[in-house]
Amino acid sequence: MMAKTKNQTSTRKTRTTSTAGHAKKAATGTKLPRASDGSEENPTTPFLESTEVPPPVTRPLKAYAFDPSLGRFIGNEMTIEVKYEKLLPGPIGQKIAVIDYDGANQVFYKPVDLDDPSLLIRDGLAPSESNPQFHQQMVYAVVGETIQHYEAALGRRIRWRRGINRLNLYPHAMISANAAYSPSAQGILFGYFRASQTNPGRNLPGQTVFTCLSHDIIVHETTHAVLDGIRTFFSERTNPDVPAFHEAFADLAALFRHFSHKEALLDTIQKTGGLLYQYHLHPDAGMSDKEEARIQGQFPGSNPLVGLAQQFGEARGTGQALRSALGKRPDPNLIKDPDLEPHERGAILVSAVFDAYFTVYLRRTADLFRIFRAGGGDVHSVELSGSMANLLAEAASRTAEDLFQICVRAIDYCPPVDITFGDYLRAVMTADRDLHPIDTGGVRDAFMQAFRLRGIVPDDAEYFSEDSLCWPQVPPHRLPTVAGLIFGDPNGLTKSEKDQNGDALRAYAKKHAKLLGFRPDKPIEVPSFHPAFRQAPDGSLRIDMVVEMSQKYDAPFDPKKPELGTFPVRGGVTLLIAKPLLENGHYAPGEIRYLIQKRLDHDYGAQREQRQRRFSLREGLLEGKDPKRFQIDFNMLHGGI
Amino acid sequence: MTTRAVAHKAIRPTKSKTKTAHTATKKKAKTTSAKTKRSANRKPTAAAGSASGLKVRMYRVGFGDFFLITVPTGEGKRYILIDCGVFKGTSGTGDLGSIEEAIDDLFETTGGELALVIMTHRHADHIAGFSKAAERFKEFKASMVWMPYWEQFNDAKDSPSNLQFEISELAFQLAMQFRGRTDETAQEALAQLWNATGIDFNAAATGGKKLSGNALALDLLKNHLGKNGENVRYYAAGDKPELPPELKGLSAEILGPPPKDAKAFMALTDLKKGVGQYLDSTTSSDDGAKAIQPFRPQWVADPHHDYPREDAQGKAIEYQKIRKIVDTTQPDMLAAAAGKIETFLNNQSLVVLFTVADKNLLFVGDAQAGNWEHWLYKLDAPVKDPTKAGDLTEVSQQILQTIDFYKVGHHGSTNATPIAVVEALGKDHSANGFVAMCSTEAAVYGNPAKGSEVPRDPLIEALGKECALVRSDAFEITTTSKGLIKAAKGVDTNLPKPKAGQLTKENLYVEYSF
Repeated sequence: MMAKTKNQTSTRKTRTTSTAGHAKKAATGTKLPRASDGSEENPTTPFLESTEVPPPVTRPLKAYAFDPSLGRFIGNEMTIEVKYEKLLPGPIGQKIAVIDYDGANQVFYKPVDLDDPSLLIRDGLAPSESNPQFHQQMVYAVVGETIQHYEAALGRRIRWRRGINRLNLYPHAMISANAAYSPSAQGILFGYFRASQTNPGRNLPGQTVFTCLSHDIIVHETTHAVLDGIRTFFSERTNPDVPAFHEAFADLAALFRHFSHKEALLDTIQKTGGLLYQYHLHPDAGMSDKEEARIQGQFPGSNPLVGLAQQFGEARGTGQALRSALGKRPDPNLIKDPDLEPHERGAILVSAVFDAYFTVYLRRTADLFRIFRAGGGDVHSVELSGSMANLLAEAASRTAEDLFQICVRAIDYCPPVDITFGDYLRAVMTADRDLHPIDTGGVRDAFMQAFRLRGIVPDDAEYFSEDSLCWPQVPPHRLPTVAGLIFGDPNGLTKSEKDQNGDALRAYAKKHAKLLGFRPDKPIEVPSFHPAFRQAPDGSLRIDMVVEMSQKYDAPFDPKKPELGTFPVRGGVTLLIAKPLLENGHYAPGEIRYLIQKRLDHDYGAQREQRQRRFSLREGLLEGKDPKRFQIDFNMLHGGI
Repeated sequence: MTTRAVAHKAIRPTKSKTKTAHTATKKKAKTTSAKTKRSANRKPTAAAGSASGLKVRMYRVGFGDFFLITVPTGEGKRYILIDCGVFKGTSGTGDLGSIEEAIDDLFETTGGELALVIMTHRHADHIAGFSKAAERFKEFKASMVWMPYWEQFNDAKDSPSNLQFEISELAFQLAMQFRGRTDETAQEALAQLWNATGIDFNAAATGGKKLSGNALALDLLKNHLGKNGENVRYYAAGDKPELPPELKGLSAEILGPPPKDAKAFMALTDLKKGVGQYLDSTTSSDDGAKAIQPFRPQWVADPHHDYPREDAQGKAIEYQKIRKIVDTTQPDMLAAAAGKIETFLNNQSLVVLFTVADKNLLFVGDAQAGNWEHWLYKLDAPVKDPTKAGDLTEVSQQILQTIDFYKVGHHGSTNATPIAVVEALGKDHSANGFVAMCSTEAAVYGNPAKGSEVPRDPLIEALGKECALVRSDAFEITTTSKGLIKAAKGVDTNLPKPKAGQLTKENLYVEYSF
């Protein structure tokens, strides 16, 4: 162990002494290099073999798997493997920086130096509520890990919203039972607060609760930031589904993370007899019917996998929406209630996706259960054999990974503005079919039925069938090709390549405005384009450019009374442009495979304008002049105020 | 409730008749009868006499409502008082100092005998007169007092749903957080809280248990004018109100607030829960509120010493800027909570439609979106998707098209007269047009740069095109306490000419004779 530390320190030193050392080596490079400790040169040593320690791939960091309130129960402490990068005290890395400024007390807290050898040797600080440096570490670790998951699912590196190079994370920004992604603060603000004196749940009455120690809350907020980077106008409030969608999607990301956590998963499988969707867990200790629970081992627990941010919810006495959505028979009429608060509305979407998840999980494990029964196992008993539990855990975790990827990829197939739950269903179907043309295991079917049961149907699909729900693929040669695009590679594009793409896409939009469903009289923007690199099941690499184009005009709240002001109406298209093949040694121009529209022309535009007008008036957006009022304010949304 | 439902159904064929004339013949008979039924409902018998002598007087007290209706009856004039309040607002200039003189004038006009007193809701700008002139009001008598539905929960003094108690407690705690702060957000929040409680939080703490502010006004309304609650009636939309016998010939319909089990009350409890966290997390001291400290002092760092100067990309990290950004996100939640209390109270407003002879008078208090929507769109009916809320119900459309007098909601603030209403008021209005009165005082609330000024200029302009609109701040006024106060800038100082009846003005009021 000592040796390892020594090595690591020396590595760090070599690296920080930087280029001078490298230059020297290069100069002496023609000779076989001598080992740096000056020992006898061994002629059989290949010259690439170095005594330098290779840089690590990941950095292990300790964190709470759920939140501090769950104590040391099985699997509540975990070690997260974050992609290795050199860190400054904060931790401050390339894409994210933890800056611990407390706005309520107006002080900075001392930053943790994760490159400190005494922390490196033990995977960072041990979980602790009273040490702010552990908080900083956990926020860094969970945000880093979440980014990795998104990058894996999307097949590209994620970027923050334009203008944000580095996402700032403020673990103790404010006194608030709340955390919020804020584009204007260029980061995520986590609050802390005192637990209720009267109904604190598992907290001490009046103890300080930190939102930055809730794994779920961190993932949730990171998701808002990721989504905002992919979709420029997604947080514009144009219909009741918009804020609800943001909440639902962020909750889904947090929930799916639970299922990758092996220990918690195994424990839950054992306590539910493999029926992971059950809300209540069997207690550790059994008892007869007449007996009353006396020790904690006899209390039935609640399933940590399907609950979100428990400490937070208990401290505030809220958070019932999701539980009730997952615990009730689906009601197709609920979604029609205009008084649904965004979280309640979002919970409908979450429960639909989770219905699909559990359905797929049960289908995939049906044979396992059959074999188990055939071997004399009793599935009604909660006692599953260890290997059965292991297999189930594996299936559950793989299925979660699959469904999370489908959900994330679907974002690339959503229209760029004015998202509805119905649009999202269509995007999910299309995204999955695009990569897996055959619906093995009935994943898409599970999605369709789960959404239908909850009354989520697209406005414009003709039938509730897979064919009809998928966005139609653009037939070959129907739309003009896009010349001059550079697809680059997964490491990203250089500035000049980005500029060239921007020019090519804007020129295309201008030339073919009508075909794309834009109004030719208004300028068209290209807010984002992302090359995506994804592996198809046959092993081939599929390269697409995902492009957002949008157009805006200001519509009066009342056409007869223009003096009452206006609201922005946006239309737009999402394009998926395939990287072409080589022809005669040159790349052919890009072919548009999908054209996903929210049109502004003809009746579509007028209808959307009218719908948005009613929504805006109802939401009280008439008042004020600040254009920010059309955007979701996540701070208020989460605060429930 | 039932009357409304019947009327609503019965009206429906009218539209289908105009739309598809050829299919309507069968329904014709029914339509006609329905229409007469509806008219009978709204426009009582001719026996009620003519509208001559019917008057609405708007006392000019500044930013506040103080309206008097003179109702002609067979036995002489009878009086209805709707609100009596004023509030100085964010700017501090909302109170003209004329309310006591106006109350004297009220006494002279009515002889201290009021048939009906309506308190639309418990904001200072609607009830402060009852506390400012509490002694004077003890000389008044009232046959009946109407209050919004939610007020009845305050009668049981220690009940868990004691609204006054809950609001004051919340407001007091919130106000403590804002005390000593001079920024615009805090000042606006303080004004809202003052309006909600009638208590000046900037001044020294009010000592003892003596009633003051809104609590005193409510005490006077309920216990003196309302004879210890005996003559107080609480109403919500759809209730059939009880009128004092001397107002024979007049009828009234209650359009708001939304009835019980509405979510509004729940919203307040939720608010307490939500805001409670912020309040619990601070401790009060003489200099105002102090935040809890989550960590021991040794964790406090000096950013210039303990943090890196540059980030991993070699760019300077601007800690001052970061400070500023994070600092500005702090007060939002509390200010939002103060705003919620404001909206919550405004939406309790009792909305009353009076019919005397063939004249219809609509008083909406300070009703905001939630209150209006309930009756405009009938949201308890099956149409639930907001995006498909559709047009106003025909009943509400008809009400709006046939009114002769409109008390402009919430002092002309933009959130209190929905666009759909302005539109319906203007469309196919009866030949006599209508008169609208707006009790307001310019430059007291809001900021024109943010579009939040009260009254909201575009709204007043739009409404002004549809009717004879008169603002209380359109003329100069002389008061004993403050001397001459000039008319609001840029406002037309001529009395508009209504299509029917006549507008007149005195120093203390503007009056419309139908």
